[in-house]
Amino acid sequence: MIYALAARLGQMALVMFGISVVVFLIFFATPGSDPSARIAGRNASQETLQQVRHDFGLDRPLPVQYALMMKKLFVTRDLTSFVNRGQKVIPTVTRAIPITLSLVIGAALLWLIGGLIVGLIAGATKGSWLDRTLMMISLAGVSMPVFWLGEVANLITQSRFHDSWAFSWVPALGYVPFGRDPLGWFQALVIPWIVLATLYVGLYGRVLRASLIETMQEDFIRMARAKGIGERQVLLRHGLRTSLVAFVTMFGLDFGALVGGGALLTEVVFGLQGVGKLTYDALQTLDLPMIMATVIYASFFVVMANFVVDVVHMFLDPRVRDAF
Amino acid sequence: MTMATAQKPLLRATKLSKIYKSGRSLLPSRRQQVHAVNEVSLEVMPGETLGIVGESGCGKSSLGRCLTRLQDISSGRLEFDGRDITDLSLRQIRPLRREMQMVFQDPAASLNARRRVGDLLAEPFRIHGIGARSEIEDRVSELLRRVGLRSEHALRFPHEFSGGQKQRIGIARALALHPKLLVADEPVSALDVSIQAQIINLLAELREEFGLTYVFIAHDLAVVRQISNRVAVMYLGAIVEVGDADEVFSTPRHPYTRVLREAMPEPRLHAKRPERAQVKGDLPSPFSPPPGCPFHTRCAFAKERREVQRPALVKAADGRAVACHYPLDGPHPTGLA
Amino acid sequence: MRFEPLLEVKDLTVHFRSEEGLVEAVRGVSFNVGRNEILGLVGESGSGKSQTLLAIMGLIDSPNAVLSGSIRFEGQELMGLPRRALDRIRGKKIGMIFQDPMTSLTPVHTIGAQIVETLRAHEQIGRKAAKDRAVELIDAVGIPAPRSVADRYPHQLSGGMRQRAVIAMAMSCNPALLLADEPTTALDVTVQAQILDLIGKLREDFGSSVILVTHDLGVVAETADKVNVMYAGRIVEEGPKEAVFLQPRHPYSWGLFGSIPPFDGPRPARLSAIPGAPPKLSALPKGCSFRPRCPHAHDACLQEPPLAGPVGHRSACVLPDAAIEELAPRQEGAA
Repeated sequence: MIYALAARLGQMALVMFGISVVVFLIFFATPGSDPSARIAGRNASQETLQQVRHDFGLDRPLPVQYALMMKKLFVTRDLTSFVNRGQKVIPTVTRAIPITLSLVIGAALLWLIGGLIVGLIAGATKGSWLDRTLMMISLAGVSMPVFWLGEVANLITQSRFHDSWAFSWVPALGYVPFGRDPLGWFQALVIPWIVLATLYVGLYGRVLRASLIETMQEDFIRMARAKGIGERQVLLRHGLRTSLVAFVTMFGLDFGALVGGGALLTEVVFGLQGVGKLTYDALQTLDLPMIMATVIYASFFVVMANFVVDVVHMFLDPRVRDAF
Repeated sequence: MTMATAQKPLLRATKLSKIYKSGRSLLPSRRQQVHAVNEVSLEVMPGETLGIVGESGCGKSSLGRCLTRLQDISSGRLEFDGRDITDLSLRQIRPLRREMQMVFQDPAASLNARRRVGDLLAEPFRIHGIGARSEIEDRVSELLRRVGLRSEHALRFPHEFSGGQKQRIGIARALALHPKLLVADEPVSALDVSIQAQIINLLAELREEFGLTYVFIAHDLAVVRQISNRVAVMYLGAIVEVGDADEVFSTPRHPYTRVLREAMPEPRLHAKRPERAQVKGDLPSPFSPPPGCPFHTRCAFAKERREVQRPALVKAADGRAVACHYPLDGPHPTGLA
Repeated sequence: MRFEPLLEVKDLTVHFRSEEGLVEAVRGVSFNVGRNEILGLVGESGSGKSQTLLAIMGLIDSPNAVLSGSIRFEGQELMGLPRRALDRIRGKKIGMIFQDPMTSLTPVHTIGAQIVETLRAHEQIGRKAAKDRAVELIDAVGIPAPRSVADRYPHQLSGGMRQRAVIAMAMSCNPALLLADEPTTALDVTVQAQILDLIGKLREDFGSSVILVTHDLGVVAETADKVNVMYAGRIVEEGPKEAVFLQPRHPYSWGLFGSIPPFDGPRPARLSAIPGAPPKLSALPKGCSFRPRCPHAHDACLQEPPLAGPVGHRSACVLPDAAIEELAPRQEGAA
């Protein structure tokens, strides 16, 4: 078990290293283009280009360039953006992290609980009108694009009905730090949470339902019923518990991807200055250092999430535990 | 069936081994290997049926696939019809497929569900470039009739047949090119008793008619005895006893053969159920087989020597061979016979 | 004790609605199981033997199933019993073991926890005491090192050990009746022998009755007191084991015995196999369902024959007793 965890951690470090190398190569070693021009941004002056070449060691061999880049990213953390003159990239990303985490963790809680309830009810009542209604609603949820749903929510809560009793509490778009005003933090985020979770509740509900229905066909479910325990216990202790594996896998990956910048559309729509929004802006201005930092940050979260999924798997399924 | 003593064996395996490696861990200590087949030597004479029995995991199926070169051999030597085929490449082996065929336990899995039975049966002819279209059609209907189906069955799909009929199709396909050797791996164990008997009868008839040689692999002693001339008993990858089908089960010499024989529930009444020779515990893990005699951990007769030394398969004057330091002699004491 | 069988199944019918029409899985099956008795239910796949067992346990939950008839256990009607009442009987008074021990244990709970679950569902017993009982039960079914096995997960045990664990679970509340659906089919012969011995021992130790469903006449010969032979959803022959094995009365039973190769003595050149295949349950032949495969079929067989014959040993065949006497194969050398 300890060996397995250590091995996983080692693998993780290796993957991270690999990603950083690949990302580096894409930006710095693509043939036929000058990386300094891209780092310096559009319409940069000759001096700036010179300075960039010197700062990033672009006149030196690739491994040195890589080492310098990593040093700027992780050790001195003084990578600066040239598009937004002098903006330090790393602190900007660090500032964006709590915003993204707030958004994604809140939404994740909602969609986990929602997905669990929807999947469980639909799976247990397979074929009934309740099942069919839930599946229809969740299909609708899955089909609605986040940006559209977000804009509709904004339209309703920010303009059309903002003055009605129902939505007068909704603050203007943007983020309120938890430390400063917990209630304000909650009020600012609750609508983005619901919007982001809507898509995933449907998705998770459907996946759990399918997995539950499959599990409920298994011999051990018949065995559990033959033991004379109530149907609720059969469903929860034997059915759901065994079905959770697919659910957890998906959750880990989605969570990692969202924290890593995948919540971009939600962040843009609700004016949250999170990592996704940062990436979005950086892409629009071709701010290479910023893109570099956010991509590395994103990969870190995805890999991290993978690791957590593996660990949770080990706890959920004794067979996985032994397979290491 | 008479067998000339001067005859050359159709199939001869010498110290044949199949090793599976598992685990791709970086640490060598976590890599494992299984001797699925462990230095097996056997001969099959033309026209003879050699039965191979053993419990699951004893390596009988692996051996069967090695004997037809459906899988590579790790070490040892395999000769077919006087020719060394141990290291033939996939391409070199293809012409030999005409002469050695296999029948599997689950015919449904080996029949492409989307193709008509007629196509499936015509395939061997096409692959080996035999016969014109009309001739192939004739041959296919002849084959179908021969295995107890009707020629119009050629137009149907595999799922339209019952388990027994699917196995008939599997046999028909194996026989299409008139092979010399047929290796059957648990061909009847998925079938109901009454259907089982039909297939065993069919295999026996076909053997007479085409002068076939069989290697018949199964876990059911009675089934193996019914169709075989000689029987080899396998345990943890090794052959522990070989001999005449009747004798091996009526007077087993290896303690494991006896355990196997007495464990088989018989469909008839006994005045008093004789005490079974009990085996201790479960099959040892094939990843770490016991040293010395593989059976010594469960054997009632094990003495120290068994643990130290692996007994060789020694052939006695009466043609039977047993790999045991303390072979049993004479009829076994439970008086089942 | 009042004279009353432990289990009384009367006219049990299990039909399934399907696209191909009505699948008649069990057709009017009646039998009794007495106390401390082992009944063997023999038949090939599709004979309805497993569905009969599942019906007794109330485990047929397909929305397309139509059940009728009566299942009385200790005088109580089980058919149509609400779930809550049924759960007071299942696992407590009737235990069940299934064919494949690899899939009949929940993979994510320890063996001990699964036994404790049964115990606590039916008895007022604390967690600690239940755990101790579980360990005792695991020990009683012959699993070595029971305390450590209780903390292990199903995949960590061999097939034979898992089936023992399943038996321990089924026996945990000391049920009066054990339903065993092909309990040894998935196991190797040496392990099968151990499990059969164990089931026989349970009858002695716990005083339970057993219904043993199997396709293997050898298994029945070793364990059962009474035998019911089923074919296409009906009982075609029933009687004490000795009678059925020594003087089988139904042509299907004859065919079954003839299909099994002998273990010793001379080998027949051909086995007397039954020609053809069992009928489709959605398109049963008129009259006796064995008629299309029966060498003795005649016009009278177009009527469905009732179970008839000497007291205690009956068969569903129109052949007169004299003909049966004459045609039946005999077993030699057996007592």
